[in-house]
Amino acid sequence: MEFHVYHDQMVYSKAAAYILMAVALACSVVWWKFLTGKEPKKNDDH
Amino acid sequence: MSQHDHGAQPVILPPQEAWGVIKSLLNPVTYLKFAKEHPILSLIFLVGVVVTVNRFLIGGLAGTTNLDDNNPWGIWISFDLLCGVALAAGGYTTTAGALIFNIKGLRTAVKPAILTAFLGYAFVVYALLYDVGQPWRLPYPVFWSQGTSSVLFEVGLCVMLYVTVLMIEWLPNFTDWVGMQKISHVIHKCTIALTIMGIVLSTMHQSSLGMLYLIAPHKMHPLWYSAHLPLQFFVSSMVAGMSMVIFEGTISHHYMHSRMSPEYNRDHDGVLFAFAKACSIILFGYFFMKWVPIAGENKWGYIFDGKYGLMWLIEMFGFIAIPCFLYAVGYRSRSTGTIKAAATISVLGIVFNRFNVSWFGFNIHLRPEQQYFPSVQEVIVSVFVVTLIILCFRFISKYMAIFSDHPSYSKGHH
Repeated sequence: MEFHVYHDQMVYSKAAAYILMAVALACSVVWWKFLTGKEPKKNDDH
Repeated sequence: MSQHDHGAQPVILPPQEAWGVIKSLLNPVTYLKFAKEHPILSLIFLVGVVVTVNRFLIGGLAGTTNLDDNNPWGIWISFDLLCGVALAAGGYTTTAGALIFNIKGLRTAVKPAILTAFLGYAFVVYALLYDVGQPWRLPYPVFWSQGTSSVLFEVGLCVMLYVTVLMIEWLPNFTDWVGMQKISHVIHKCTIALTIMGIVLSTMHQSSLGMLYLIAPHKMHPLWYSAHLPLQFFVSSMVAGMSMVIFEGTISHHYMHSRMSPEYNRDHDGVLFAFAKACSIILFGYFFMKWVPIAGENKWGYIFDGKYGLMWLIEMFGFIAIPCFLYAVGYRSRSTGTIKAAATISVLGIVFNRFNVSWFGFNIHLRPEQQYFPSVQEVIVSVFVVTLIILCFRFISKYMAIFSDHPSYSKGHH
């Protein structure tokens, strides 16, 4: 299970993590629209 | 919306009769009657008592468990403690939603959630007595020899304080029942303080349980080991707690419908929708929160590497992404069935995650014959503990005003 981390690899990994976070942020906007798209109006009994 | 009949107010016994019920608990005939009516529960109880006697008086840990120096923590930690604490998180999530964020629809879920959390935590401590070699020393780390640099000390201290907070939060149900309303009034005045303490203590120990595993980077599989474990444990505990409130509420609604007041029956669906929205949002964040360390620590290779990779993918998609989607669909289409299915999958997912972290993905470097597998008696103790929780929940909600407001109160109290 050993794995060696080299400097370049670490930089690329960090970059990948930041790209993933940006993807997550973009997806969250779409997700929010999907989740609340059919939300009932405030005067509904929910 | 629910098609249930909203029914009449449930009958709460007057205080004199309540004391009679408590006295009947001391009478063996009560238990014989119960055994006749519920033979399976009684059999589990009986076998549990036999194993308990074996654990404490005859065989000890060696004669009861498959634990050894390689695997000192087994299913009692993985299931009874880690899953128990996570699934009892409904107490702080529901009180935070209802009393701090003032989500009105959640008011009726507070008392059942506090009862579930109180019983969950109380039995976590009870189960720990089986697991600790010298259980009478359980208070030592808090009162005699504080290991303030230890994460386990923080977990112990928080759990001890939180059980106390939950007991005080639950106590008005009992004092109302036996006619000691003055005590209830004093406790109700402290509700907000108790709620804040509950949230703070839960935040601390839910994350610390994940932090415990940071000490063992070489024992854990890299897919589950991450510096983000404390955050992952805390975030997943919120979903676990809310899903458990939905799960437990669904079962209670089915079996204890007659104990619920019209208001509780009416608000049941509102609780489901509020929690479904919250769970969907949190699971969405949790899904990406689990991917980020994979990218940041370059662990992509492990995902397609054998059974551990498969288990990780099953956890990520089967137990996080799918319930996240189902919660959203259930919330959008106002489908209580979909939300209940999502809650069941989420509860199973939390159990799977905690097992992966503390059991399946732990001690992976050991030879197959050294790997841990629980003994029959360990499993019996875990089933026994769950049975005790169900029996206590059933007894308390049968007699006390858990799914209704106590008749001595005017509308609006918690």
